[in-house]
Amino acid sequence: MALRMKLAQPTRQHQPTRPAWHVALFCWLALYWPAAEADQHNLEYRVKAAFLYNFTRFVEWPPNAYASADAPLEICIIGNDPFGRQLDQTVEGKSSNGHPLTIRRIRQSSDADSCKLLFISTSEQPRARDVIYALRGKPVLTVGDNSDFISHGAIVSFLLVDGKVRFTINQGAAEQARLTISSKLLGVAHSVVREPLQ
Amino acid sequence: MILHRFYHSSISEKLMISVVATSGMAVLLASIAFVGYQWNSTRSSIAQNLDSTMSIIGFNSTAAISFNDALAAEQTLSALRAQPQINLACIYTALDADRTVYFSGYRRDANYAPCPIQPKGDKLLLMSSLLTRLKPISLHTDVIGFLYVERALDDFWRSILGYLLAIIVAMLGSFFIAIGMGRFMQNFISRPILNLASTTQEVSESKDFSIRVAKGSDDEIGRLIDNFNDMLAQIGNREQALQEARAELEVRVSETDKANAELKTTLERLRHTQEQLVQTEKMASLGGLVAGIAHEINTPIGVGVTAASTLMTKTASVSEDYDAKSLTDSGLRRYIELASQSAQIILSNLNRASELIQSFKQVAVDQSSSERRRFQVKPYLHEIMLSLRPNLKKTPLHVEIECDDRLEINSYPGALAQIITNLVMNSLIHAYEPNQEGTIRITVEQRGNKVHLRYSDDGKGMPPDHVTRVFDPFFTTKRGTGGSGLGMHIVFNLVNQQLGGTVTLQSEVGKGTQVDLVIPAGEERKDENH
Repeated sequence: MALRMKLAQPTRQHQPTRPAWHVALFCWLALYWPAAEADQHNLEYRVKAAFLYNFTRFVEWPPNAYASADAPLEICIIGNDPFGRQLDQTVEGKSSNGHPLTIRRIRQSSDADSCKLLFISTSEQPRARDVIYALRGKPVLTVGDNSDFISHGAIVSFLLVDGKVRFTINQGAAEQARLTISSKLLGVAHSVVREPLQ
Repeated sequence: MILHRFYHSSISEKLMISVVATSGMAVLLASIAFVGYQWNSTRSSIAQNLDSTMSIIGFNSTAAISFNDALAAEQTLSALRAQPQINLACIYTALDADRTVYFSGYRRDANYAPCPIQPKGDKLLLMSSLLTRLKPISLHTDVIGFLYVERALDDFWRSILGYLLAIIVAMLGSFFIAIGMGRFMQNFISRPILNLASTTQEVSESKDFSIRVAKGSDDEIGRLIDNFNDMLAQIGNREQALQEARAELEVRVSETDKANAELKTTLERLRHTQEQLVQTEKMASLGGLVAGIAHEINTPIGVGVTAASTLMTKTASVSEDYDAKSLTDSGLRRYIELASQSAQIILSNLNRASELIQSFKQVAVDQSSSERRRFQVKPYLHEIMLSLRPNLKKTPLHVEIECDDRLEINSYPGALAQIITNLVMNSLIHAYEPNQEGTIRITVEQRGNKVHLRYSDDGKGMPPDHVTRVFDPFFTTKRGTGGSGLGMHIVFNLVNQQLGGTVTLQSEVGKGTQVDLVIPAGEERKDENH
């Protein structure tokens, strides 16, 4: 509920996009309506989908990462897909430096060779370390769905801070993957660690 | 009004006004240009600085906006604290092309108004105290948000005010410098002109053309002074020439006066001589008259003497005869008859002589005197003709007198006698050849109180140039043979002056000469004179 308010409603009292009573009604619904929890989940992954798209804009892949100049920038999802249609809708028609964004859902890390960004779902947490290590040295931005992935060596790991979606960055892992992460991205990260994969 | 005042001001004032106005205008124009340029450049540099600051802030905010990190955005915005002119900065996320939503904000302090709901940026910076700008925040090609900034312009206005103060100082400075320059320029322009003007006045008052104006410079004023000096020199020369000409003229005038005086004396002498001549002529004609009279009287006297001597001879013869007693009766009778006849002859001739003397006496008295009297015209004309008989007798000329017997006038008979005598003598001398037959006609008639006397002859007449000069003194065609040239002049003078009448002469060659006299009959003047 608080997250929703942060996203959709500016803190300034004079913002008129939604009147106060509307917000109050929404809060009440979020608290007492049985479907409120599902909505919260949807909202979280809508934000995460947007974040995934935004990561592509603050991260530079090495020039040889692409097979050709117009090769697609593949965003791969391994494990259970928590986004539904959210991510597809977010990246639809988008491109990064001439590379059109595509979504591919994979089963195992061996399928992840052409991926530029690999979202590792919470369901893959038990074998996350294997997946991440299998991709070591390859220009793949690994993104973990929760804060546990920090310890697994994921380059980016989502976490919730006061109900808001934040992320940490493992700069050491990023350097190993020959990815250049914008200082601006580092600036908005919840924390930046330097723990290269062993 | 201002122009009028300028028109009447002195040259130095005009000069001063010109210099001050020119420099003032120059400084003013330069200042306007300077302030305009500064205005524009300061404005654009402020806008440019703000734009670059906003670009940096926007660039640094992209990640915060992308990842919905308002706190990070606020930290980025707080960097603006280093720029004290920026009062307010707000970031809005772009929902779509038209709608924006407030995302994050920065306020210098609580005195400033919070971020507006819908931000709007200024297009131009003019007179406002606040510059507001709205700038899109782009990530790659997408516009992900907007940055709105309010910037105070007090520094801008302070600098403009500073420029204006500097301009006022510059204008005051240039004003004083212009006054100084004007004073300095007066030495070269207005002072020489004033000097020239005062010298002009001095020259015109003193009439001293030897004064010269000192030349100060070699410019137009110097040339003006040179020309003025040249002009003075020329005027001086002309003045001198004029004086000389005037002196010469005075000498000439005095010479002319002297000549005139001499001329007048000469003329006076001439007139005197002329009068003497006229008098002499009168005397001469009187002498002629006396000769005529003597000649005329000689005849009766001679006849009387002859008769008396015959009687005396006969008486002596008769007396002898009586003594001798030889006197016969018939002899005595013849003697008595002879004596009677002789006495008759002597008496008649003496009477004739007496008569002649009587009439001559009258004419002679009249001619020698200028007495005015009443007389009968016809008999008087006959008496005059009688006095002229010695001259006329030698010629075959015939004299006709047509006149009313009773016509009587009150005038100067002597003058009339002189006039007629001169006319007849002229006819005799000039109009007729010796022994030429001719008729001289005198007609007299009274018209009103005027008497018209026409004298005409049928002689050979005169050419026109003689007619026009006939009354001039000393005009004669016979100077060598005794003509004095005064006869007709005397006629003219007598008619005009003594008789108070007019005389005209008409003549043509071959047609004789005609002289018309119009003289007053004199009745009305009787009381005045007698």
